[in-house]
This record gives sequence, structure tokens and C-alpha cells, in this order.
Amino acid sequence: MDALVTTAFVGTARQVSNATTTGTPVDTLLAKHQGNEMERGLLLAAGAWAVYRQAGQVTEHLPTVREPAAPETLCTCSLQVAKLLESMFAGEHKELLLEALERMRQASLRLPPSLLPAALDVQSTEIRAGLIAVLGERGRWLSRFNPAWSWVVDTLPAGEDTLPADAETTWQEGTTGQRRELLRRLRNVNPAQAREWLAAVWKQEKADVRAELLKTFDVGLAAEDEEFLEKALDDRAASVRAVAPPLLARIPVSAFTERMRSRADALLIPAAKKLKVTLAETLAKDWQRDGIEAKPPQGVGEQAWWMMQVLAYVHPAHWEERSGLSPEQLIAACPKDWKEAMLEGWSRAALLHQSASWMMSLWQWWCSPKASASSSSLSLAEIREVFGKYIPQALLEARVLELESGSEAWSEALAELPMPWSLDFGGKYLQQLRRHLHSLDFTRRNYNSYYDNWYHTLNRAALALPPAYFAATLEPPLLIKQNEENNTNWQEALNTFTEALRIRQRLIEEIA
Amino acid sequence: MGISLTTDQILALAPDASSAAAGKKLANAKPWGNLGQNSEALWGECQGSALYQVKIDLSSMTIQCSCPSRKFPCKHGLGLLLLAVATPSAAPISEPPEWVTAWLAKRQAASKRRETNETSATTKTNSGPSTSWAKRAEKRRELVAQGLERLDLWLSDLVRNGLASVESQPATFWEQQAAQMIDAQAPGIAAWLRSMAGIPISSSRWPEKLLGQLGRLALLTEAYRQGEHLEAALQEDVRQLIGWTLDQDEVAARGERITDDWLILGQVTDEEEDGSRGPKAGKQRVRMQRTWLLGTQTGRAALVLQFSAAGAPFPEVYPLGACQVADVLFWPGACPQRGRIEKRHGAWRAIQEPLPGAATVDAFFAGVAAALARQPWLERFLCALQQVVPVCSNDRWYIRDTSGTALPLTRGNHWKLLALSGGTAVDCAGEWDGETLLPLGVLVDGTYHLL
Repeated sequence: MDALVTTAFVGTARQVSNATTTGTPVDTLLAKHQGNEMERGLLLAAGAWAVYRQAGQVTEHLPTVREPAAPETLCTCSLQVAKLLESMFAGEHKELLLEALERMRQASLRLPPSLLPAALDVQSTEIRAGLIAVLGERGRWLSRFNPAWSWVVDTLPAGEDTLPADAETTWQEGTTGQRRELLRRLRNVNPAQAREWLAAVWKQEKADVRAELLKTFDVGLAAEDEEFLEKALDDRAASVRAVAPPLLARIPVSAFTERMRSRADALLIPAAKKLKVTLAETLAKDWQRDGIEAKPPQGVGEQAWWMMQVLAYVHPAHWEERSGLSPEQLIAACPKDWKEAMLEGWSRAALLHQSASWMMSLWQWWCSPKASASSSSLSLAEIREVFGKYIPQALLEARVLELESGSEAWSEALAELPMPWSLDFGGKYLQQLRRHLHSLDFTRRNYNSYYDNWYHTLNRAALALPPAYFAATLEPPLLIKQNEENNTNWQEALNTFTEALRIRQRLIEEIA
Repeated sequence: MGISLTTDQILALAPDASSAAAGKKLANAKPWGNLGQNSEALWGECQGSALYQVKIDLSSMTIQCSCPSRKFPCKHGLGLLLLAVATPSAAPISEPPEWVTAWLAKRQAASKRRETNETSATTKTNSGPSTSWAKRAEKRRELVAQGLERLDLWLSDLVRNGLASVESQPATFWEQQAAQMIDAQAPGIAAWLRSMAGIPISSSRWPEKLLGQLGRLALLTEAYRQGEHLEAALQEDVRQLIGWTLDQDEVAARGERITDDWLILGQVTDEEEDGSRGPKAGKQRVRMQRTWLLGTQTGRAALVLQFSAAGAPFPEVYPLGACQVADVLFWPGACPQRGRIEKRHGAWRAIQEPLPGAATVDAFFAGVAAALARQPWLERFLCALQQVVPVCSNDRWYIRDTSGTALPLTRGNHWKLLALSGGTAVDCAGEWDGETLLPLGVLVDGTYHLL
């Protein structure tokens, strides 16, 4: 503290020597103002000194500046699109953001710089994936300044099969995300080297890093990976141990596959178009080592839970070979008591081994009225949605059309359809929607839009309707009977719906 | 002619985010009828819950709407402007309807009346004050003199007992002294004292800051007492700082007028508690808005102040990031800073040219020093710098000029500024408070972006 400040801070009454000088040219100025009491003199000196310092501000010198952003290779989107995106980042019609970003990517456009902070702040992984292509050089450059934006650097630039020039440096010094991505690509090009790289650092990495890096074995998985994965089954960290079994199960010649298959064969024995189930009494140590969890979720029996997990690792085609039955026949042959556990196990196995025929048969079963929510934590709708990704869109849409429109099952199935809808389906939906709106009777007692399943499909339709139908939806306008109470919900929902279509229309026009 | 504002600038006129959003919704031709514009005005009728007539005086950007909204400008006005900018063909050049011409005529008559008043006011002052006015003025001088007397004793006591004791004082410590200054009819000093209440908790360097403020306050009372020895212009400053307000006529008669192409570079709104109407009237939230203007030819900065109490809208809206040829009338003083737009010539245009600012931080500081030499109580300065690079280093933000000299930015993040510059040199405008710079806008590739 300067002497003057110290004097004022402690108080002139408590000081022996009272400094009222500042050691600056201000003192000579104040010398002309003698004759004041000491306190007054100190205040005036302090005032003049403050002005003196404000006028003679000492500047800081910053010697180095970071490299500026590289020149852009993409064009920025139009001002109109920027406006739309800005309101989407702010939360308005944010459900259209993914489509907008995808259109921009296809048109080789990027975000204007002013939107980058809002874009980089996005938390959703899905939208982040859409953003990567439209951030431009500026966005990637900006992301390096804020640790919260490291997700950008973690995602390597596009190019599945090429390694960046500084691959080794990134492998040594990069973030976990970058290293995982790098390893993933290296596995595509040179799996042996990828294994060597990982083996070299394996011991010194933390558990969560080991687990993340081990997940890259998903790419280019082969018999040569078995040894490494088998060792991972004995890893000291549970998170690492959990990664290995599904990978080992996908190596047809692995010892793991063999072990699981023999366990499964003891559990299920085909006998004359039937399946005989013999559950394991206790959970053996070697089962646990292979990733079979001991403790079932609430409401599920232990033994059924163990069986389900074993079935989930075995390729479902194994049962066709063993029994000579088709997937449909096998599904029908499940004994009633164990049906849920078996179907869940097969469903998981079908997804793990990407078995198209099984996925189709299982999807049909999950769609049938006989199906009920299984022992897993997933609801029926969620299971169907997972399978739906592997079923041809035409089949999925045909199923919705078979259901009674306006029913709950119908609206659920509709919500699971991939987007955008086909031309055929979009047209039919629109036709039925107009008919439904026409038939709406708000004066009917107990009518409540909340219980009207049509009402809840509008949000999905706004995203899924193919562009070819925009004009037909907007003109003639979708109308409901005016001037009745009770219709405000519908009116608002229709407004939001048509507004979303208009925005999508504008996106198409602007990003051409 | 068309309106050469960007949608950003129009949206910046909105009193709040919901008005901006509502305005955007109205920016399509559907709800509108009878749209039109000419060189003076833009108008249209909007079908809301009723039919609202919206008219906009393009020279002053005054928006008027017949809707009952208390927001200003209302969504209809914003919607009309947005529509006219996005699709100029929606509002064709045409003869204005009667409700527009009548309004324009009324405004012109009012502005003429004001001019006449101004001239008559000048003559009135010249003809000598009436006796009762002189008595009141004399009474106030006495009150102020006594008040400053007491204030000086209080200041000296503070220093005698030591500023260390201030830290533990409640807010009423400052409030009491401020109230005494209100009673002494020195509201300027009252507001200054209130603003000091926050210093003892602001930073570790608070004793130095507080002593500086108290010292400058002492300089003010000293200057007032030595009034006759000061040059006339500085006497004006001292009187305004103490709390004598000037009415429009006095400003018009004694202030300086500068015609220039004025850039509206940015705006800061502060909330402050105002007790200037006396403690008995109760405290109320007063918002103070500072709008910074920079003259293209003269390089002069103008600070336009607006006040609003109890959530009322500010009377005038300024399109930020726009420029307009206008006469700015400055309050009299040794280094005139506060001003208002008196007369507008021509329409608003978007800022596109490089900012006529300082080339280096040192040059800017030289300007600050020169201004302080003339008027040592100046608090804030418009800082327009050319070719500066924003830098973020160890969580502290700067802008750095071509010579490597840096100016610290206000606390918080300045990501948008960094994103817009991309690490290259840009023209930047901000408000300098003696310690940090609050960035207001940045010019990149011929577009002025508000921050």
C-alpha cells in the first residue's frame, strides 16, 4: 500500500508521521495549496493523485498472440438461416436443429462466427455430431480456448480410413476422446499396430481410460484380438471387465464363444419342436468371470436372469442349427414360464450379432398383441424402437397403417417411425389428419385434446412429414371449428405445427 | 428509399426478449394491410385482437402504434420494421393515408413549437430573472454551501479516524450522508456517495479506490468554493456534478452543437437505487441508460443519458450499430461529453466503414488524459480502437493493439468477441471506466456486430 493510502486507512489520529505526499508531480501542484488542516490536505492530495493515475494509466504489454483461425474453406450460411439457427440455439423450435445442420452440411455451409459460442455450448451428443461439419475453421479454432468445448477436438476431422499426420503426438498427448478416435481409425488401417500401441500404455492408464480405449476393438474385431480381450476379463477394474464379453462373443472361434455356447446348450435343449429349459442352480465362478451378473433387477428371478445373459451372448443362428427350426418356430416353442427371459436374451443376441432374420422375427413378435414388457428395464415401445432401426421403413409404415388410426398403439407406433416419412405414408397421414380435424366436435361432453391421440402426433409429424407435402399442408390451411371453447389447445398445436413446416420450408429454400 | 437497418439493429430496439420474439412473428405480410412507405414514414395496419395502426417516423425512428401495449416499441412496430427490411416490396412507396399524415404534421408542429420555445427561452433569460426565481436560487446556494461545509467535516473525520473503520459500516452509513446531501439540494453528490457504498467489498484494493473517490469529492467541494477562479466552462461542470440540473432551454442556450455523421456504437443500462426524491417518497428502482455516439468527422464522443423509473420504457430508442447525420447538442462544460440528438438529417444507415477510433491504446489513453486535464471528474469514456486483437490469457481478457499494448476487458467471458475476430485485428468499441473496458461492438468485414 502506498504511504498516503496507509495513512488514510489507519487514520491520521493514530499516526506519528503522517505522509501526505505521493512522490509524484502531484506534490508540487499541492504545495501551492498549503494552509489546510492535515486531513483536508491529505484528501486533496489523494484526489489529485487519483486523477493523475487515471490520466497516466500504465499500459500492459502482451508480447504474444495465438495464431489466428485458419482461412475458411466453406461459405457461411445466409443471414436468414443464421437468424433461424440463432432462435433454435435459444430453444425455439430446437427440434428442427438437427435437420437444419444436416442440410447445411450437405450444402457445404458453415455457421457464422457470432453463433459459434451458442453452438459450442450445446450439450446434446446428437446435435454435437451434427455441428462438427458446420463449425468451420473458426469454430474449431475457438473451441480450443474453452475446456468445456473440448468435445470438438475430441472428434477428429472427417476421413474414416486416414490417420492425421500428427497421429503419434495425439496418441501421446491428446485427450481421451481424441485418443479413442485415433485408435478407432488405426484399427481400421492396421489393427496389429493398434494393439501394440494400446499394449504399450495399458498398465499406466487409468481404469476409465482403459475402458474407453478397449471399446475401439469394436472396429475390425478379429481372432487376433482374443488374447488381449481375454486378459481384460481379469482386469482389476469392473468398467474394463464389462467391455470385453460382448466383444469376445463376436469372435466366432474364441474360447469365450465356446464356453458360452456349452453353457447355453445345457440350459436349452431342443426336443421335438419344443425347448426344454434346465436352469442353473448356482452361479459358477467361471460364469461370473465371463461377465454374467449375479444380481437380477427387481422383479426378475435369479436363475432366469442368468439364462437371459448367457443367451444374449450366443449367436441366435446356433439355435436354428441345433433344432432345425426357424426363428419364428423357436419363438413359438419357448416354454411359457421362461418366454420373457428367453426372448430378451435372443433379442440382445440378435442385436449383438446383427442377425437380420432374427431381428425381423423378433420385431414382429414384439409388435404382436401377445408381447408384454420383458424383464429388462426397457419398455415395449423402447424395444420396438431399437429393432425398428433395422427393419425396412416400408414395413414399419405398413404396420402403422394396419393399426386403427387414433388408437394408442397407433400413436406409439407412429412415434417410432424413422424420419422423414415416405411420400406414401406422409400423404396418408395428412389425409387422415384433415378428416380427423373435420370430425372434431369440441361441444362433445368430456372431449379433452389431451386424450386425443391425434393431438399428440403433431409434434412428430412436424419433423417427419416429407417436404413434398409442405405446400399441401399449408394450403388450404388446417382448420378446426372456430369460436368454440375447448379448441385452444388444438389451435395452438396446429399453429406450432404449421410454423415448424414453414421453418423447414424456409430452410430448404435458403440452404439450396 | 428503403430502410437500411439490419434485423439485428431492429431487434436491439426491442424492450425485452419476448417483444423481440413477438415482433419476429409479425414480420410476415399475413396480418398486415394498407402497408406503405415514403421518404418520411413507414406505416401499416396490423390485425391483432383488433386492427392496430402502426406508423414510424423514419428520420427519428419514432414508432407509434394504436395498440394498448405498455411496451415500447410494441411488437407491431418491431414487426412492421422487420417486415419492411426483409421484404421491402411488402410496403410499396405510396401516398400516406390520413392517419399518418395527420400524425406527421402534429410532430412537425410540435418540433417547431419547441424551437420557438427555445428562442423565447433565450430571450427570457436575457431579459433578467424575476425576483422570486432569484430568491429561490439564492436560497439553494446557501443550502448547498452549508451542506458542503458539513460534508467536508465528515470527509476529514473519515480520514482522521481511518478508512479501516468503514469496512464494518452498514449501508446506512453512506445513505445517511447521501440523505443530508439531498436535503442540501446537492443530489449529484448524494448519488456519488451512494455509489461509494459498494467499494469496500469490491476488491482487495478497496482502500486505494475509496480514498481516490473521497479525494476527488474533496476536490469538487474545493472547486465549488473557489468557483470564481475557475474558467466558466468548468464552473458549469462543477455545478452539474453537485446537482444543479439544466433544463432543455439552458442546454440549448449554452451548450455546443455539433453536426456530424454520428455512429451509435452501443448502450449500457444500469440499475441504481435512487432516493433523490427524498427518503419520504420511498426508494424506487431507477434505470439509467448510457448510449455512446461517435462523430465520424469530428471524432467527438457523445454520451446520451436516459432515465426511467419503475420499469417504464426509455423515452427514446436508438438503433444501435446504425449511423445518421444529426446535430448533437452537448451539455455545457470544460470537456463536453453528455449530449442529446437535437435535429436529425436523413435516415439511419448501418455502420460499414472502419471506426474513426484511436490507432493504439496509448493514443486512446492520451485522449483520456487530455480530457481529464480539462475536466478531472470524468468517469467513463468511449473507447473506439482500430485494429485490435481480443486475447484470452489465463482466464483474463484483453484487447491488444498493433504495438502489443493491451487493455483489460471487464470480468466475465467475451466469447462472441473472440469468435467474431477469429484472432485477427478488428475495430472495437467499448466503454472504459478507468480500469476495464466493456466491449460494446465490433466491426468485422464491414459489418458492425453488437456484443
